[in-house]
Amino acid sequence: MFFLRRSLATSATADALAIESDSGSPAKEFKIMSGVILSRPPIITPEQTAFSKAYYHYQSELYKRMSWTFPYWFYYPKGTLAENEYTRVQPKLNEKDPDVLFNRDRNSKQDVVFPPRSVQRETEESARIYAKIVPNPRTTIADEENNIRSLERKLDRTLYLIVKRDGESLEWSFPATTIESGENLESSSTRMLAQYGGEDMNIFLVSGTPALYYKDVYESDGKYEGAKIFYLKSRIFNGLFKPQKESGIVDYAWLTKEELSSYLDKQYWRKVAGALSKQ
Amino acid sequence: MSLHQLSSMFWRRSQTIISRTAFQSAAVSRIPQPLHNFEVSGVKFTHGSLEVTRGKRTKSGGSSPQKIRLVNMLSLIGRVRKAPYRLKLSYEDLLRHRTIHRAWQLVKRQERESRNTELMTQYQKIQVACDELEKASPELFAQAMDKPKSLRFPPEYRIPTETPPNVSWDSSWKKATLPQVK
Amino acid sequence: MPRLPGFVSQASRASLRAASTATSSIPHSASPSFADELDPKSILADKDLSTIARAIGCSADDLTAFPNPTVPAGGEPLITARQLTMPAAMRPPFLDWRVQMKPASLKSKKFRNTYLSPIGLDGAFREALEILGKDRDTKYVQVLKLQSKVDAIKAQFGVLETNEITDIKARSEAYLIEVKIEKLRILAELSNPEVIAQFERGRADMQFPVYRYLARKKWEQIPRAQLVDRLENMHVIPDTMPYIKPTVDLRVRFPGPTAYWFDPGRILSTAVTAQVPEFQINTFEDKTSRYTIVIVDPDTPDFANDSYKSTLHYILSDIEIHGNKPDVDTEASTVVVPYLPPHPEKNSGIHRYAVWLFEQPDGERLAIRQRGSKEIDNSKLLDRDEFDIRLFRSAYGLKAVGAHLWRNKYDSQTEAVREKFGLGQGTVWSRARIQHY
Repeated sequence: MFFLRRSLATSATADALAIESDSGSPAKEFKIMSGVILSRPPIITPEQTAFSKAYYHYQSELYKRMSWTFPYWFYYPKGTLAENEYTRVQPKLNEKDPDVLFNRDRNSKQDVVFPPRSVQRETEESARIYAKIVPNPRTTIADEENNIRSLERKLDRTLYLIVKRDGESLEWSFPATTIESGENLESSSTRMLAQYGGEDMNIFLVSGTPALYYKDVYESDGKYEGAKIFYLKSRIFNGLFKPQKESGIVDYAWLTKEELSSYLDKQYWRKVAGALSKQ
Repeated sequence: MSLHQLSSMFWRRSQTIISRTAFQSAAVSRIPQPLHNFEVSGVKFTHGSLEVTRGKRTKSGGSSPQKIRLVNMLSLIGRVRKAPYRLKLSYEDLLRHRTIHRAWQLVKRQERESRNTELMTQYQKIQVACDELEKASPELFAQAMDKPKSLRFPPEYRIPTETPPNVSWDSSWKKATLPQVK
Repeated sequence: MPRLPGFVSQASRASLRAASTATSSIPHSASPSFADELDPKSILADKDLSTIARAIGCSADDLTAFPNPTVPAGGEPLITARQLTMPAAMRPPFLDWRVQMKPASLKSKKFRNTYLSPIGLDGAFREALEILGKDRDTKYVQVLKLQSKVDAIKAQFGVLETNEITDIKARSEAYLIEVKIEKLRILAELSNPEVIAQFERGRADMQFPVYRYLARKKWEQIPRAQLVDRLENMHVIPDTMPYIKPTVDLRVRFPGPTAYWFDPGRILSTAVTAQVPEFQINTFEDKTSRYTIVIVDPDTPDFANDSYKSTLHYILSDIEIHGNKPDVDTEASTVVVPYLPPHPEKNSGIHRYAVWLFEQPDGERLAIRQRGSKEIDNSKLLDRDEFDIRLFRSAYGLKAVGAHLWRNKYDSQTEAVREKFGLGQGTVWSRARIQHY
């Protein structure tokens, strides 16, 4: 595994925290790094299954069947124009049927039809208020284009940020950095996110406690035997991840859990998958 | 049935309805008033003086508008004439109904179990990470274990809705530059 | 009535009725069976019949040889592989799952003609069947996997039955897997609406574990609780035996034109009880074992000791019961002590006749088993007048698994019973005046 070597090489001068080795031999130790699993929480509820749709439909129909008759005589008092208007729009029921009472068949549900709104003067304001509400579509342009850099893709899922940094062999991974002197996991990851993606991100660091551990062993000889990376979980609420010039970020992507499996290195994915959320 | 009996039956609920709907223009106090002498819309109801019969047509003379109005209001509360017939399912349909709910319970159980296993693996990952951090660097571990004194839950967190908001993602968000306080 | 009530917005009954007559004119074969729409990529659907039969635990002949109710006369059969996965016993002909306007269960013509299914029921039911079907299939796949494990263990020892495996460890392993298989088979069919319908209509076939499970649950709900309640309240426990946890449903009746399986604790006429009772033993298990039935009357007055003693009325032993055949064959069993009709003395109060069902050890014939150095007085074991049921139980090494109870008192028929069976002149007990000085 080479994919984190560059970050080590660039910060080699930094006074990094390292494990004290018992022997006095030249430092062959693991470097401690902090990383961030930055995720965008789902914005819409998960897609309903066919069964769940059918089930809710059935339940709502049962509810309607057992609801009381609409007491129109209260809202449209007898002898008023409103009552006239209301009765005019009601569909005709078979009045001879003994089960019809107050314009409702007592063996079925009642669909109340309200008379249309009577408008004397339609203003722009009133038209806006009374306009029929059309819900926004659940899929976006980013979904159609499959724009993996967009945060508006897959609104019903959690998206995770992975980056590709300039190095010997380019590999996707969660962003990680070396812990500099005087820093802890929390502060170094906050610093890293600003360094890699700019300041304009509204980020909530869930906790200073690491949520994931990954041990990277370097194959070629170097100062360090490998790196121990501790990842913190965080959420993004607003703003965009914009790769900064000096950060060495070549590419970045916002992906769901399943998509990550095809992007990440197999061994890395196996260690990481358990910390991620399915939805 | 006398007005007194009726009113005492429905007193609490009718109090709300009277004040909310029919007599909105009149200044009605929400404080429960003694039943025998309360005033709405300028008409004085005195207990015992107004006999109200429900279910009878009040078309013919003799019924005051107040009486009609009261009967009308009380008709909203009761189930009489508004309730549909009881839902009777045939054996076949009842069995279908039971099957649907059985499947629903199964789906819910599967969801619950998969969620629990997911949380369990995430928790185990946290445990391993903390153990390793303690071994690797006790200082960092001590700092990581420090709980913040006050928990800051972000107000931006929104509960997922069925359809997205008008602006599904605020891309133009800028970090606020606050003046240095010193 | 496909989709009918679901999508009529203004549900006037008259309009619905008109619509219903319109759809019911569609030929029967045109409306598809629910099974046609079920998951075609089902795990079991592509397998051959013998695999499916193996998973369910029946023979492949059972799967094919059932009358298909959905075959219209002279038409193409609507049968699918999916339907075939259910054996005849689990797929009753009376339940046609096509949603129909007039449910067969409604006996009244008026109700049947005006009945409307709730809106959306049909659609949700189809989806539910798909979900339950998938779950059922996964369970049967697990069954097949476990079955092959057991088969491997049996093949290793070259035997056909689990109890023939010589190695204790392997045998217990195979046994545990078989328990698991049984559990999975129950769970797989427990949500199957056709199975539930079959059971609730009293057409259950006890060779399938799911029906045995349902029957046991049903028995435990009321009859068993009632039995234990009566035994304790009427002090049969501890007057005869000290304790029981019934695991077997024992039913008793007396032959005759109005024979019925009576509830425990009934007061019956002595004329009725003069005949030898008939029994049914429901074990709820797929095994063969031997049982002993003992009837005792613990209310015989014992004036010598100023107490009561037990009278032995009947011992029937070596009753062989196979899992799904509950009837007791008296002729094939051994009558150890012939039946003595109850004939309570006048003024001796109400007598309890406790029926105890014992399981014989290891399914063997009834034989005295000496325990330790304890000597048993064999002459007293089967003494009718001074019968000790606890001594009897321990001498033969029996285990109480079920019980029943009825009561008799001196009535108008008692003298006739005495005369018929030659029981001699009865005694009339009366109160004696005791002088206290």
